Amino acid sequence: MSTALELGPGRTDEAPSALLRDSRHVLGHPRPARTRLLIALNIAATIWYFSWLLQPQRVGSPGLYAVLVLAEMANLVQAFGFWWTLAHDRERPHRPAAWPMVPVDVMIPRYNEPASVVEPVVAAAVRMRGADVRVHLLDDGDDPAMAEIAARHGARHVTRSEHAHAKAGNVNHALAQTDAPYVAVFDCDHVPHEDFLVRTTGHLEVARTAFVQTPQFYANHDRHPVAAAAWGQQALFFGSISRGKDAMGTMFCCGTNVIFRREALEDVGGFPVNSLTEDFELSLVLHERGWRSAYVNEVLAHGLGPEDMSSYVSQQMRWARGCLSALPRVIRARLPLRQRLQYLLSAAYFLSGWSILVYMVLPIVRILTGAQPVAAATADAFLIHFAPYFVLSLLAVAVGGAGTYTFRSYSLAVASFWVHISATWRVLRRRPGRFVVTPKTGSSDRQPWSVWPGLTMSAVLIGVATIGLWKDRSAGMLNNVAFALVHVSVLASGMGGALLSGRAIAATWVHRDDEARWASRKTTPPAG
Amino acid sequence: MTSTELSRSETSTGAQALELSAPSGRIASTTGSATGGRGSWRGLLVSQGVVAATQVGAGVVNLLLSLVMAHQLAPRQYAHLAAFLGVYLLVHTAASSLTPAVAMDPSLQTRLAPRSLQLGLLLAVVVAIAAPGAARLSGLPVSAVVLMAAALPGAGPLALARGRLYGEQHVLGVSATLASEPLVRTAVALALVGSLGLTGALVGVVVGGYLALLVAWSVTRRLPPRGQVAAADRPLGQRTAAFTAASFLVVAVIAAQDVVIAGRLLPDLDSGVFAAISTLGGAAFFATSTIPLMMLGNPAGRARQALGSAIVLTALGSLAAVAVAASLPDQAYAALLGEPYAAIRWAAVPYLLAMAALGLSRVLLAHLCSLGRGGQAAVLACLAAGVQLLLLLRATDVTGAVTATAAAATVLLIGSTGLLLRAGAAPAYGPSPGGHPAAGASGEVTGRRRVGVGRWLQAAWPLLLVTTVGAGLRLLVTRSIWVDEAISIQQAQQTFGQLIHQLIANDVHPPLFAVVLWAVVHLTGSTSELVVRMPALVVGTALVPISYAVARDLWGRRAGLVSAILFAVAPIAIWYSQEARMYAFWMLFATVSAWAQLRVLRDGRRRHWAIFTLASVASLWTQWFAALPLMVQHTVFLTEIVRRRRGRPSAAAPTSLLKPWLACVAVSLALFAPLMPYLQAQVGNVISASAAAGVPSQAGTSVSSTGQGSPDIYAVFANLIWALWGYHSDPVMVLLSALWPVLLLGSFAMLGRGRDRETTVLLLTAVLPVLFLFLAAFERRQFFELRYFTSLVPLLLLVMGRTAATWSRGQLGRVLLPAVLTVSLLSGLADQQVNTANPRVYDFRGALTFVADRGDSNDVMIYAPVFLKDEVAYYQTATSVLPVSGVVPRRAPGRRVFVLGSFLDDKATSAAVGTALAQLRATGLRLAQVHTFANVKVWEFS
Repeated sequence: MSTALELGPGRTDEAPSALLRDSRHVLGHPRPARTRLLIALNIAATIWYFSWLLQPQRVGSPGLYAVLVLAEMANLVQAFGFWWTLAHDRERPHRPAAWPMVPVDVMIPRYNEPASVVEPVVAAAVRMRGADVRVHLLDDGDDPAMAEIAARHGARHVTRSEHAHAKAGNVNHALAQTDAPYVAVFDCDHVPHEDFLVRTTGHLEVARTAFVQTPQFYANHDRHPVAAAAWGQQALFFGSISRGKDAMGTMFCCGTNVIFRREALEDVGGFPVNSLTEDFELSLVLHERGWRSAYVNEVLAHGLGPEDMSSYVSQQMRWARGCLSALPRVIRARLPLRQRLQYLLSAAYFLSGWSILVYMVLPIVRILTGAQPVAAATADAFLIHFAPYFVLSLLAVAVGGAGTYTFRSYSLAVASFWVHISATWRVLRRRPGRFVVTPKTGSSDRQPWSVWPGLTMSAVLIGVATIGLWKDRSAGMLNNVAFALVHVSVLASGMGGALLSGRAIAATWVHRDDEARWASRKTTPPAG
Repeated sequence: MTSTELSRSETSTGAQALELSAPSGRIASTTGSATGGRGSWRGLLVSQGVVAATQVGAGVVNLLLSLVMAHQLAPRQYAHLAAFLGVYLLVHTAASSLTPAVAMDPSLQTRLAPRSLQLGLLLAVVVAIAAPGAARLSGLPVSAVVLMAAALPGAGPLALARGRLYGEQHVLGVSATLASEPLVRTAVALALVGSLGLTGALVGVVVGGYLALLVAWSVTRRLPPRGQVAAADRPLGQRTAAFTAASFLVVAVIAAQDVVIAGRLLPDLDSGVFAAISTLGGAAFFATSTIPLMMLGNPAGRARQALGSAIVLTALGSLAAVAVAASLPDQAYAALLGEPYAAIRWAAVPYLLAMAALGLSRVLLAHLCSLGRGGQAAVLACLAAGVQLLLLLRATDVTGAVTATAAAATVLLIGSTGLLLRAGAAPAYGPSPGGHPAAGASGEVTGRRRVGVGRWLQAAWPLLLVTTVGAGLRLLVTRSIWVDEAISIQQAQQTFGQLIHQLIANDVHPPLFAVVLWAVVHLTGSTSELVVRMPALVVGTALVPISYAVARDLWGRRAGLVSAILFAVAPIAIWYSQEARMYAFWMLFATVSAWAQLRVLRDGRRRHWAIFTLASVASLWTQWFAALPLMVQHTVFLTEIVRRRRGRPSAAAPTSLLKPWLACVAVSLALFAPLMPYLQAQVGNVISASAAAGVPSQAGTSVSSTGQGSPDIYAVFANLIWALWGYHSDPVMVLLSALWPVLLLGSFAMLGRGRDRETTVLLLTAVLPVLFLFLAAFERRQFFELRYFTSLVPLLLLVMGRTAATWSRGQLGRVLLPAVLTVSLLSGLADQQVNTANPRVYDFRGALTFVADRGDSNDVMIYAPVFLKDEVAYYQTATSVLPVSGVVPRRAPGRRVFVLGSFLDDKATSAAVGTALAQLRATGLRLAQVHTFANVKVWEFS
């Protein structure tokens, strides 16, 4: 009974303030005045740049010009989408937990992850407060060790005879065997905070709310350059972007650290089973059927980010293929324009590798052939139009990313440009995708093969730059060589995680053998 | 109390606990020697004598090698060898300022060795990479620079290892390392010089150094280890340590600076004579240099005897040298130094006496340091050096120069004796052999002092080296006096009243720098290039340690060191340290006021408010454009005041800034008030100056602007490149500007980094004035020019230093980033200093010296443009001098006419020169030849 009293709604406002504070530290918080000013300046700078670029006399080599404008436009669309979302950046007010306590089925789907990764999740899940918690370990690996873990912590070990449709199939199978009105889902590397339900169930009380999403925090972000860079990308998404999407009612589900209303899941027939990004498509369907979504801007679970390049690449490949293959579905969706555009923006992000490819190829073409996309422009004129646009766009990312989105995150995204290209190709050829679980423990070896396209591109850029310098050393050539070398530097930084030895990384990065995630009741959330 | 304790307490009190914990054998030996009689004296004299004799022998071998090489090498190669040895000696002198500190606390060797080696390696890499540029800069072959780089890592460890040997009183070890260096050097040089020439000789020098290090190391490795010392004990002695090293360094400066300055200031023959006597004096001073070091290694109990024996030996050695100098016949001088120096006894004897006094003072200062009174020793040494410098700058002949050094030595000798008498005779220095310093026989006070030595030196040793390098670079390649400098020098030669009147009537700058220059010129009675540039040189060099202090205070030691290195080699910092103008002062004040502001924002102390107020007003007294960064700084204060007022009050909230800020503004205004008349008058000057072309105070604007019309992005790049990488020729600037995409990389790299208040404030203070002037330049083009936002340079360098020091997480990156930056600055420096296509280099010195050499009083020189009046007056020629607008001189038998033209890209000047040339031809004169100097042309008619 004491537990029930302790978890009453009257008490919930005290503990979470620390959580909120820490979350703000890593995810930032809305700064409306600053953001609006920045967006206004960005729009002005965009008009300034494009009104210069799009004049007929700028056309140099027509083909190259067309390609450049296309890439710039694709970039601009993403940028506009980002500013639009940023303009709606608000923090959702807190709602007291559902009271009296409701039953919640907590699903922890597991495929082949080791016990050391899974056990802390189960242990933390059973300790969650604020609801009548029933934990289910959905073991698709049929591992007796998992049964043992479940038994040890008082959870239910769920297996199925047929392992079809990966994670979506696994969860759907468990849904059929359970009946609590709310269903929380955690990937088996995400350790929930004991107040997860206290902070989220209140929002489900609002009518027609299908799910409440919370951030996906990488607790191992201080242990590996790849995890750090990936966390920077996550932080930008789960900070200002997710808050903005939430304020516009377009937050989509990210598959873990999320709690659903069973009624909504049943309304759409559970998780879609024919997608690589079942969470994305599920959200789409829910929104189509008039359900609402919510996002709570608090780190309420600690997960593990990819700890080596091949894990990162396989994760990105899955997301890119899933989202790109969902594009036709998004375009057809029966959604208000605002929601449809938001889905489009999120899915089309995975095309941005093409723009990066264009930017890298342009100096190569210029050095080898002398052809330039833009004509009748001095460097001076170009810079006076381009520099404000560039600097302000970057500033918007910096402000939106609240300092967590770093050069490392950016360069990792650039160095993975080929993932988007490869994903586009596979989607266009309609190659069936396989749900690949992102490995939870990193390899300590060098993984040059996981970044071979980036390495090839770097070699080409260096080779072409050398040829260029050999051909002539005029200012124009030097400028393009500088461009090429800038690309090489960014690529090298992005690929660093794959090219450095485990020893070099261990020497530089905080390396602890203990658990990075919240592993016990007493552990407090780390300061980002 | 045992008899041992009793006898110990007679010599030192208050250290009983430590003594009792020490092994009894050591105490017994200490007290034994304290009460010991003749035996210990003899021992001391013998060990001192052996080491000193070895040192003398080493000197003799070096001299012999030098003589042999003079025969073996071609004159040019021999000159290279001499230059190489000069730099080598400089490095080792700087490094060996550590030796006395290590002699006092041998445990320092273990603690400092890795760091000094790392620093040496880093410097070696930097020098090696910059070798081609450095070779061009110094005129040495590249192989010599590379060998210098190879020698660098050895200097620090050698000084430390020798210090340890002195500290351990290891007579054999000291002698071995002292003797091995010249012997090996000679052997290798002689073996290689036949086949490799100069390179062989240089290899000998380098190998000799390393072998001496090897010898010293192998001896120290066999000694019992010296332990670490408790951190809590360290702070007390930090200052003493600093001052010990500083004292020895300043004494070395006193011994060396006279010949450098006399060489520049005295007439040719006098400077030659002075060089000859200073060679003799230097040799005598060198011969006694081991004595204070051996003395410092003595245990406390023997301090008096050690001091006594050191004084006796130094006096004997020095007086012997004086006696020899006095008794040598003229022929001997001629044989030794050359025919012109046969009759220099009259100068050699007093100079050697002065050196004897200096040698004795060195012993007394060392003792003073060991008593924990290093501060007094350092102040005294600086005072003596100052006296010497002032007198040297006024010296017009050998007597004057000798008097200067004698005066310095006298001040030192009397001062140190007085201080020692005041301090009483409490002996302090020296560890017991093999013991833990903190538990040494010298007791608690000494233990604490010695501990501090290490901590301070860990910080100061690289800084001393960097500052020395910075000073060297500032002295290395200098330009001709520039038009603006010539005007300042002309003003400085007036009476004070005239100066002020001229400033108000004709100038466009506030008076601080002009007054400083006036004082220097009147105090020294000289307007030589070195003298008039001395204020900028001193201030510019001081910026190196000041930048270290600032960056260290704000971001830690690493950032401090990287900043100091950047300041030491930054081309613009060096450029303006070599110019008799106010910009170096402005950089200094900008740095100090920026630092003080950050400290105020951090903890709001009154002291920092005061420093901020003074430094910011001083910057206004130096340059009117300092008002711009100042406005930014006050806006930052106002913003912070508002921010703090809005913030929720809590116990932990920082104090309000409003009241102190108001006080700061009030004091600033009061201090600024005397400038109002200047401001009013000079605003009028600026308006009339920009209306009339060719007014002297505006000279040079055309070369410094990047083009006419409105400012553009190129102007921004050009100024940014100037600010960091220095002034370059137009083709180089075009290529450098083409590298702008690197800025994109820089912008990306800033992602997730810019959340630090200190950097933000610094960048705002640096960049907003530039932005303002960029906008202002649409009205007046010439405003957008680095000279008007020179404060940008130190602030950017600080931010860069901080960034380079802390950016990378990896070990490699932490070294690579500062190294790459330093090398890039060094490349910029090399191009700036030696590329004669640099549009800012005007070789008036070369052109006017040329005219002076060829012309006589019968000849005439016509110059254009007219504002070269002061320039022409500065580099006097025997010819009559006419501005171009004057009457064309009549033809006279044997008369030559020179036409000196500069700023020929100005149409009016070019036309005036053309007209003059045509008129001269019309009078029947024949153009003999045209000589081209950097941006100056001379036509010679006869």
